[in-house]
Amino acid sequence: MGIEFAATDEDSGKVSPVENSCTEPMEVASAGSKRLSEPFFLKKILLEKSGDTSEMTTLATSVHAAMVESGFVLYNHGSDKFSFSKELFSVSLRYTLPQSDKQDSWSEVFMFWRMVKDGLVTPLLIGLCEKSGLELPPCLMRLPTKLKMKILESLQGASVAKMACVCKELMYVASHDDFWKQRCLDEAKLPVRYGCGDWVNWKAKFAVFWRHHRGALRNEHITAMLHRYWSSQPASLLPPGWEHGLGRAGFES
Amino acid sequence: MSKKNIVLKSSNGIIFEVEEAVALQSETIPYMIEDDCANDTIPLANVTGDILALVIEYCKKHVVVADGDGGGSSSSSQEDLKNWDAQFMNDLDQSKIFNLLLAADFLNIKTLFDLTCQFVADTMIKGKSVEEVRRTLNIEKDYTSEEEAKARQENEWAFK
Repeated sequence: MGIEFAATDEDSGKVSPVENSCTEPMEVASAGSKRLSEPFFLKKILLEKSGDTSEMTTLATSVHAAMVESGFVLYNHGSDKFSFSKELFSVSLRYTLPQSDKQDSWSEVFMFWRMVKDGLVTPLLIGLCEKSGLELPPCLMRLPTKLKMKILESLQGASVAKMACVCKELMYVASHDDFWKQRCLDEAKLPVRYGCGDWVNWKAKFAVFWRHHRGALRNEHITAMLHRYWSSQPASLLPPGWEHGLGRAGFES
Repeated sequence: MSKKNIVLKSSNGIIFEVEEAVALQSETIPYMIEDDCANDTIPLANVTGDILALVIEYCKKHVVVADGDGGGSSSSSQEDLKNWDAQFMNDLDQSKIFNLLLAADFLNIKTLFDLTCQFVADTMIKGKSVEEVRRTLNIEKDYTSEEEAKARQENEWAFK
């Protein structure tokens, strides 16, 4: 099985509007914005390392890197290493999978396809649409707030609190009181004994539960470990009343 | 006796003919039939053909399983369905997943909607660091470093 990737000068003529505008967000990114998007990352790694700034090299190297990272190898080629030159405007590389006769090779091909799409194509498209004011392709931030909330509701409370650190909009979405009240009832199983008029900081309540909950889990783990350790020691070495002591700490065998 | 079929038309004009039981897993479609917004064909202006094909694949699978059990649910078929659901979601890329979520919301197919939300939560968010979530979901960091430090401090309990 072989997959051919060909990028020729004629091809680049057809796709040049995309390529040309591709470079804009990259330049903006390097010109002071703190954004570390995929295109920016690729530019930094690929171009600064190689020192070659032609768009064709970037394109070919990007795809080649994604192919190699997914487990493909060059077909009919001595090694996986080759270099692009500034003069090179036509690249034709053939890829194959090592042991491609294996049954699961299609799942590897699919994984590669998804990786290129999710990791390379979609970020590029989102960056481009943001820059030119076009409607974004489907992504989390394009969903209506109602759906963003539904996704957060599918997470545990601690993950939601982490999501608040991702960006301002998610901080807003993740701060609804009703949402944290539900977490307190479902996850922390806190009893509700507040009148309608009382304002309760449900998120703070949940945080208290979480600290305690995590602490309790850790204590249990340490106590069990200590118990295993002392149990393996000869009786003469044991401190007097150790079982009693551990029992008091919460471990009952 | 032949079963009644319903014809659905995607936003890009692709026609799907499905059994009524398949289409009625959507709680939106019955309203469209009642409204008689089309005699034969129900136009779905918000759903493209590739996504509608996925929705129909899901609905067909779920209607078949419900039929096979005569409405009941043996634990093994429930297990099979769960595995099928997982595989179904696993075969999609991110943009398809978010389109599917929007379609499930518009068509009001609750099980598909919940499945998709849970899949996004489990595979794209759960167990990932803040930076990994940004990268996975293509979210731009719009915090200044002071704002981010403040957000981290307010939520430090979650990072323990």
